[in-house]
Amino acid sequence: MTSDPGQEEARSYPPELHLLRDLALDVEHRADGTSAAWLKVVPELLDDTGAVRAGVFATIVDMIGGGLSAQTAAPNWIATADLTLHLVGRATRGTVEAVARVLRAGRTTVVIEVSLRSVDGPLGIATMTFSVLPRRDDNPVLNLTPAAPRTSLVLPGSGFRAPLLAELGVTVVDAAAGVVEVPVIDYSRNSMGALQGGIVALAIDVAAEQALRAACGTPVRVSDVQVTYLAFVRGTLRTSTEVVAASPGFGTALVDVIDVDAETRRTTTARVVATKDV
Amino acid sequence: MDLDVQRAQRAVTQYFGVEQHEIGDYANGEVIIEGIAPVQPHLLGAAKSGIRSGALLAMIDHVGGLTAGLAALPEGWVVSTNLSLRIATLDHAGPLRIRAEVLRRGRAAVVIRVRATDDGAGTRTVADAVLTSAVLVPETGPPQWQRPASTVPAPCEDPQPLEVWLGVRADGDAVEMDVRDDLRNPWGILHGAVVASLVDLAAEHAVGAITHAPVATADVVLHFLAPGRVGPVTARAEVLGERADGHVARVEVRDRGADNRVMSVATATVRGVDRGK
Repeated sequence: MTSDPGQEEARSYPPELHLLRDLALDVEHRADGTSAAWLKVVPELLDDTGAVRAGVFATIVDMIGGGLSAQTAAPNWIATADLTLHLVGRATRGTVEAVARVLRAGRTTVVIEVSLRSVDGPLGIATMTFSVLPRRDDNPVLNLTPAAPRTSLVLPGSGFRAPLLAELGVTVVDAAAGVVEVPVIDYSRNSMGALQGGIVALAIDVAAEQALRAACGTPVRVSDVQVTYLAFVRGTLRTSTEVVAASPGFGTALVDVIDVDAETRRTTTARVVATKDV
Repeated sequence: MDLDVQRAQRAVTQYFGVEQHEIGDYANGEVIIEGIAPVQPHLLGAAKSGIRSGALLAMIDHVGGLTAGLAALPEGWVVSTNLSLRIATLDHAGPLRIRAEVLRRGRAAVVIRVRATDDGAGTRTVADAVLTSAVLVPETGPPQWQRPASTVPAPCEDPQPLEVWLGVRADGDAVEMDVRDDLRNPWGILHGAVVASLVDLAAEHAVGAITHAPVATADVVLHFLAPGRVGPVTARAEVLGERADGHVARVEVRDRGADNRVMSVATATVRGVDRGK
């Protein structure tokens, strides 16, 4: 039998060296239609205040929500249309649990809600909308068993070798202006070959945090993101940030993401809040 | 179904007083709507220094919705699927200028960015929002619009506070209202702007019960999951936690007359009106 290269690629996603493997998530699809994931808090995920940053949660949420929505939309495939995250706590140790459930399963969209908890209590809530797309040969093939035991993408040798932002190649070009660049590398691609939606949110987190720290004059951290995805990022990502409100306790910024290799096309737009105590 | 958008939106347009004008190059496919909204006394929030957040949400949904609808023509019209908004300041001199433009026009969905600025405060940003809508084709075809589109509301005949106008009543830890005919959108379901207002009222009701002080919603993410057709409609908020910028609450809106079906789920941040601007 001749092997279809697209199918081969689909089966091999994610590659051996990939963020989704290094995050070492355990994932469980439950008989009640929910999915759960557990993330071990490791030093490489912590920011300069010693807590896991919002962008990491966005990545987990995107991953678990994507899995559940793909299962819901099967045999069609899905793409993240928007992602929102509101945090009410900090994760500094132990394990973070994310539980996803379907709010709406429509013909063209699937809406997912994810609740997040740390060992110290509730962490926050996230919602996502996924667009339902016709299946292509190169989309990953899912195991559609309704209830699956805990699985993991971890391979021997998986695990961070450097802090997360360094692994992803995140560069702060201008902190006060909130300009950040991220290359698209195999390590951070999604199944469509573009930058993972969670990594786009992570770049937005870093950009807004830098700009709002400068504007607020205090070490605020990102607590909310409202991300709208307009197009995939296939070339180098670059952010531009506008601070619209800033006080010592919290601030608000608008972040746009462009693909510098696609005629600076705007790919994503986001509203971000950073606060001093989350 | 005959989709008479202008008739269906009359009550909402009149109450919120938003004048809308198309300013984009529509002949070349560009759709931009600019809304002008005076800061009217019946729309003021608890601090009396600006428009209450529920009204601002409704205005943004309203202007964004018209923009999305015009962008969907001639194939169809739209129904809102989700609205994400962050309010930058609760103080408004007015009038507010609400500009909506198309970020993405797909086959099945239209994404609109809406920004409200304050003409009376040096065009300061008041709020930034994104409204996503699904494109649907009415049985009788899409509505007809004269372009450039323009709507100028008659003066509000019933300038009561938002909760009074909507007929919202407290029901323990929830708020509730009936689905009046004048609050339905062109599809015959409860207007998205009204649902957004109800979410705001529910979130403020829940957080106000904790703080016992005037509060205002500063941030809302609202997913419209199913239509509100029958009523009464109940919105209940669960407070998830507190931060420097306020309390975060999850709000669930249900249509009690339709098997208590979940209509909408929202996340809102509500803060004391004296906590930063």
